[in-house]
Formats: sequence, C-alpha cells, structure tokens
Amino acid sequence: MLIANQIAAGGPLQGRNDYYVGGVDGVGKYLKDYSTLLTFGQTGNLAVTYLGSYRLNFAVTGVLDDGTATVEFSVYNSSRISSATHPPIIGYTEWWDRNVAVPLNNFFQSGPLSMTEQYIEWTETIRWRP
Amino acid sequence: MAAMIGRVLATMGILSLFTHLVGCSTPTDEDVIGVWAKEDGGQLSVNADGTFAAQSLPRDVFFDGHRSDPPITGSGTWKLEKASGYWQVRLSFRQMPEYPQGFFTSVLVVGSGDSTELFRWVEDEGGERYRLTRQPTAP
Repeated sequence: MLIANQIAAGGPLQGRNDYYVGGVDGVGKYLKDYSTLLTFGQTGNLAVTYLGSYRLNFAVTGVLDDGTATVEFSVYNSSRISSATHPPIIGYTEWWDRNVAVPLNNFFQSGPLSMTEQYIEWTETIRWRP
Repeated sequence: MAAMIGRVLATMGILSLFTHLVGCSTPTDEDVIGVWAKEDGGQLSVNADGTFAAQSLPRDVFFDGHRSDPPITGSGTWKLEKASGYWQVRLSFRQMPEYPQGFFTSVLVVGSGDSTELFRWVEDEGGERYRLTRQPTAP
C-alpha cells in the first residue's frame, strides 16, 4: 500500500520502511506474530516470529501502464540474545537496554546464543493502480 | 481469586506506567516543527510549510548502506503519521546524487509538546538511539 501510494504520487520510488514490534501497539503485534509458537505454526508467520523487528529497504525498478510495478525488497536483521528476550513495551526502553540487553549481549558475545545475521532479498510484482 | 485479580490489576498498572514512560501521547505538527540536531553534525530542519532540509544524516541509520558510507544531505517534504506502532515524521527526499529516484524514510517521534523527541534506532529496535535534539530558536 505504501509503495503503491508512492508510485501514484510520483515518488520517491526508493526507500526504507522498517518493521517494529515495540511501542504501545507492539503488544498486539506480539500476540499476532508469536501466536505461531502456541499453535505450532497454524497461525501467524514463523519467519516474522523469528525476525521480530527488521530493516526493510525497497526500490521500484519498473512501472508499467497496466497498473503493475516491479519492486526489489531487501531485509536485514541481526538476532541477539537481547532481541530474543524483549518483553513488550518495557523491553524497548533505554532502561532495559542499559541494564538488561547490553549485559546479556556482552555475556553471549561468542558461541551459542551470540549474534547471527539474516539477509533476505526478493523481487515482487505489485499492483499500484486498481 | 482476589489475589489473581490483584495480580492482573498490578500488571495493568505497571504496563500503564511504562506505556506512559515510553510516550503514548499524540504529537502534533507543531511539536515536530523546528531544527533538530545531533553532535555528530546530523541536522533536520522541519518547516511549517511542509518542507524539510536534512544535513549529514548517517546513511546506515536513515537510508541504506553501511556506517562507513558518507552521510546524506538533501531536502523534500514531510508528513506526520502513525506507522508500525510509532508516530513518525515521514521524509520524502527529492532526487539526490546518491538516490536519483529520491528516497523515502522517516524519523520516529516519542512524546509531545515540550517532551517531544526525534530518533531512529541505530541497529536493533530497543537498542542504541540516534537522537536528534531540538535546537533553541532565535529570539
């Protein structure tokens, strides 16, 4: 929807639109994204459950007169012990980062539960004009 | 039963407190209009006419690329809206040498009125913040 609106408005056709799970609305996202664990994958999205919040970049590479457009997406995510243990709301405060997240990350600097990174790229055709 | 209700109420109270701490208030355009800067040279001027000017914003935090890439300077139009759980100043950059198609990005907003803050997460959400501080206006 965001990209379709950008195309309709004449741009910009490249951008960044990160996905967040913190903040007040994050509680609902937690319930939706993490419901997959309670239902053994029957609800929610397992990939999103693992990623949590992530960095998303997009670039429109082609706009056609038939109302479609080709868009390249790239996602980057780093998974740390701190990101796996964020509770909603309080887990995204500076207090939590300073007193819980940073010490945890320092403790698990290497070996099991240390940081891993994920890069995902794909190209998709979207409909920007109904 | 009474103990359970007590625990639920206590949990709701704690959540309410932290909700207040992280800033659930609704910012207005007036709250974000002004000059915002960081000591590393990054600056964002949000103008009342719907335009903005940005100087030396780190590419890896606001755009794409890596920390070692040179920062970005440009201008465009802005809009305040809620997206992905946060109030955000959506920034539509006009064409730049680095981005010939322009670039769409944002800066997050917490609080309102005098307590308004603009920031972006440097890496993970919940980690270090790239915080822009409101600059005093000339008398």
